[in-house]
Amino acid sequence: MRGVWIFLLLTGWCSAQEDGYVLAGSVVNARTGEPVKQALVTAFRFAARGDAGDGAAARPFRGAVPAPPFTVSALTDASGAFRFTGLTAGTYNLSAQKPHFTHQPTERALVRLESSGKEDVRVELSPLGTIEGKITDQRGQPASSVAVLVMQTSIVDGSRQTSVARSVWTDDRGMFRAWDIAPGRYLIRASGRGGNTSTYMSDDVPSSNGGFDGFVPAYFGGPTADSATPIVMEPGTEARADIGVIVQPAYKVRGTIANFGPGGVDFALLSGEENVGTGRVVFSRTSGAFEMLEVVNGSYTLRAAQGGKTVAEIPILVQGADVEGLRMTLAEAVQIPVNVRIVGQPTEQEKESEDGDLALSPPGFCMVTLHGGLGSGWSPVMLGLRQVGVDPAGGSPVLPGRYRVGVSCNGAYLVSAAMGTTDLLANPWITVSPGAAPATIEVVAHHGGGTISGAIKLDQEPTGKNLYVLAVPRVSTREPALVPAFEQIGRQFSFDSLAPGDYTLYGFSSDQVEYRNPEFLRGLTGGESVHVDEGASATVTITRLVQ
Amino acid sequence: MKRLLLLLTVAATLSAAELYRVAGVLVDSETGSPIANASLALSPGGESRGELVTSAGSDGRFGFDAPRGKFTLSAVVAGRSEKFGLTSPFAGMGCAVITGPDQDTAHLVFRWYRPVVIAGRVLDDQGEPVERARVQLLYSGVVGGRSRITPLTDAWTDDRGDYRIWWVSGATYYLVVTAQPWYGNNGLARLGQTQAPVAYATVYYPGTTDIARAAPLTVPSGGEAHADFTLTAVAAATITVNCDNDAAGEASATQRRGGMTARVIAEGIGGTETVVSQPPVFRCPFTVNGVLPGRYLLRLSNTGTANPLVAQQWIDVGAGDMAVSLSLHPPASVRGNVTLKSGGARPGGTLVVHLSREAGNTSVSMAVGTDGGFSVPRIEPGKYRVFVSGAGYYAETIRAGDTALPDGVVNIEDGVESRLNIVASNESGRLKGYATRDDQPVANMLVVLVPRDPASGYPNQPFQTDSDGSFDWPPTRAGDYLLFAVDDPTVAWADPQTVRPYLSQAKSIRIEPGKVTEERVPVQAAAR
Repeated sequence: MRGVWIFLLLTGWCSAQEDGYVLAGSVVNARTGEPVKQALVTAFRFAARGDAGDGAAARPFRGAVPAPPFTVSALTDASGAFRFTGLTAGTYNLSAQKPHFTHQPTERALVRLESSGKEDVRVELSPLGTIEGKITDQRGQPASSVAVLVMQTSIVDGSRQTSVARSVWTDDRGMFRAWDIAPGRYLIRASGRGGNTSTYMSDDVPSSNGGFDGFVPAYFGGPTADSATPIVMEPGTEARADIGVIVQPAYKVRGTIANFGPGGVDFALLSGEENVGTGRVVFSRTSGAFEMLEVVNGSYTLRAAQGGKTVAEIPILVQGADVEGLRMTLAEAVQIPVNVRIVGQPTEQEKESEDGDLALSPPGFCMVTLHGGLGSGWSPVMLGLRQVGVDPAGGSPVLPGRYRVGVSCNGAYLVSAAMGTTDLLANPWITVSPGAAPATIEVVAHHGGGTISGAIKLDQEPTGKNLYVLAVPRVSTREPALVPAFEQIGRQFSFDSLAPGDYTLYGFSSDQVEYRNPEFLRGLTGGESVHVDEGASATVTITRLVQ
Repeated sequence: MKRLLLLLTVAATLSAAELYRVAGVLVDSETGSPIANASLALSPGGESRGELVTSAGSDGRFGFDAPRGKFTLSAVVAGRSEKFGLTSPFAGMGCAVITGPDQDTAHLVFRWYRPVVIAGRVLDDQGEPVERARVQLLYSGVVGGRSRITPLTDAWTDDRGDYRIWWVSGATYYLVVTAQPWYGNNGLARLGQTQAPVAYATVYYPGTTDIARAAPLTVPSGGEAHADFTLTAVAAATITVNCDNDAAGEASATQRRGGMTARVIAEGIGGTETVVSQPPVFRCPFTVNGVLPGRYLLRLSNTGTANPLVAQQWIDVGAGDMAVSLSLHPPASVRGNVTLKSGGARPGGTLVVHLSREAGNTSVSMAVGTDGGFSVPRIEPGKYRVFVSGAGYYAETIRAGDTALPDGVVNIEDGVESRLNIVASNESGRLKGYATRDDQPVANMLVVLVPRDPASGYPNQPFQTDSDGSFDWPPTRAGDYLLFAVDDPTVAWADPQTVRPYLSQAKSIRIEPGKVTEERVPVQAAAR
């Protein structure tokens, strides 16, 4: 035994060339495989094991090495290589970063240095993309100072939504460039000469600011968002998007706001549901006078809003001349009353939770949310959390616009939702008009419901992804539901509080499922059918994925 | 396309519905060739309300029919607006168009100064692009009547290190490039040997880190200039700042209420200031990372509290880390009052006191209260020129404490409350007339009014003659002056040295209070 021990000790000495181990390798572009120079590589060591108290006696190496967490970093050289020397044994978290790349997590992120160093570690960096293009007018002339919006479309809550990922401007050549674009689906919109509301404090009328021509906003590939050509960005994609705009004479819209309060005033020029204003507005806090520039011929609704709480709207028609003398008075945004009733008996489970110390939510509740509308970006307006009773205030004030009413219940399933004579289950879209006194949203839900649970079991395992399950009810007025099936819990899933009835379940590899689009639902095949009764639990195994 | 509706409305309200022709051609200032399809606007009194708009044809010709009056004519080409009558891109006064029965406004030549392009690429010494480098453009020329170097605009580099400045006119500029390495303040640690944080040294056109060797770049109208820069990362120092007095306790209390600002300021080209670092400050002592060797002004202040405190100190930073102690104290401030020479009641409008910093472009304005008092609770130390405006008033005498300030400049010292006593007078008169050549009025000439007594402290007044060759000053301080006209509006009219050669042929005039004086002054050739 003694002989063996010495042998092992000698081996230990030989591999400790320079008082420690070597951790070396290179950083490569995940898409092209080429080396990445000047990337910052960081090796972070957690507290090394066996580091109790004075570690010197336990180590066969010369020199004490720090025990607590330890970081070392360096830039890669021209061939993308890095080399750390003199490291102690332990587990290292290796990462790389460089502008215009995202780090792609790989299994090799954790490197273990135990009996020897590692010399061939490969760290991948996934490149981000760029979108470049040129905006020209109908005469082929470059359009400069145009605000170009790079809008990411993704599916949120079953419907396609758009949000602005980047905003850039064209130069004198009409060229724009947006970089560091993550993979995804994008629309490009030319929105008018860049600008925003400038507020000033004097009695003078604003002096001439130009703005004698303008154009209707246009998208890459088409005039509207629906007709636009989406750009699909993968890692490292270099996309090109040229847009032609039609430059026309433009005019000014002038008026005063009677009763603005402290804070900024937001202006929007609405054509249908879209804000087509360029954003160039001059507003005087002394007199309330405003001047909106660069408005081309057309019929619009001019809206002024303050803090999302007060709003004024006025229809305008621009036909070859400036519009003058508008008088706008801000009024309280609309309050929508909500009344929720929950019928049926609370389940045993709910009764327990009501008595228990950890009852975090009342047994069975529903929340009404309005999705859509302008001015608040695309964040939904929450109308309040109500169990029973009428809430005349109805939660947040609602700016005029078109919204989809969403009702989600916990511990109960939706029986009916109506607003006046409108059946919201058949048609969830409502229009809120300024100054109107809207009808109450009446919601009836039923305690309990059925449960569908199960797991996704596939022949080939997709790596590192969470999967999703969509339950589509046979009754078309009910909403489909999408739930995750997390990898960590063996891809199990469950749907709670479902209305009794028939459902078809489908598995998906991402959460980008457009279940509020009837065409999308009609095209689904290969699902598992299941029936669930009140208070019952059904089990399903999903064996294949759609898409 | 004409705004006929507006035109008819305007015409209908005049008793004598006379319309005059305002017409001409829009041309490139360098080549003289016409510019097609621009939009032109004729604004009464410069206001956008009531403006007439038309489009120039493909031959650059435009025309309006306007009532009698004084108008600002402007043109918009590719989204960029310029006023008629500029004789150089930055001579900001422009030339008003005056219509009337004996005016010829139908043959205007509107010279358009094409913007230039200054573009290039910023790389580091490894050949890697530097993103978010700031390329600062400083304009070298006459601003406010003085020849100076003024920060004008910035551009930022993109992911390839490219910048492009395309919105400025042809002129002489300095370029200053600053950036931070993206990996800089991580401190590249290597087994317990921490490398100093790195920073990029500021680079000046044409590519030097030595500010004394910075050279100007002159770009003619419509021209293109290319300027690439290489930035080198060098080890930078960490400065530890201590606050060494009782005020430190107050300062710490202040920062909890949310505001201490620290700035490390380097002297820039031509007396401008460059803020090289503005670190977040949460408590005192604090550290400033990544400061390159050099001489800086370190300035600390709290903001927005009832008890303002400041400290500043010049520091010489070497290669190694250093520590600095600052003593916080109340800031420099100004308190004063304005009395009226006539002793009468305060005028209806508000009197305003202006303090304009001699070096640089900043000024502070404070309204004077009904009791005649004014105060500026905190102001940065330096030399300031004192003015009064409002209701035709001007400052006749200015005293700092008991000392008269003959040239109107007060030296405000750090930590001291300066007291100003101003006697304001509205004894003013009107001066108008014509600049002439061979006895004919000439448009676009620079006319300068110089107080005869150099100790009066009243600044020189400029005027650029309008389309009919006239000048017409707003109410001006009564007194004796020398009046001259010169054929180059870019002459530095506020600088006594520049003005002196023209005084021998200037006309002596007197402005009487309450009266209108008319003069004709012959145009002198500018000294070249």
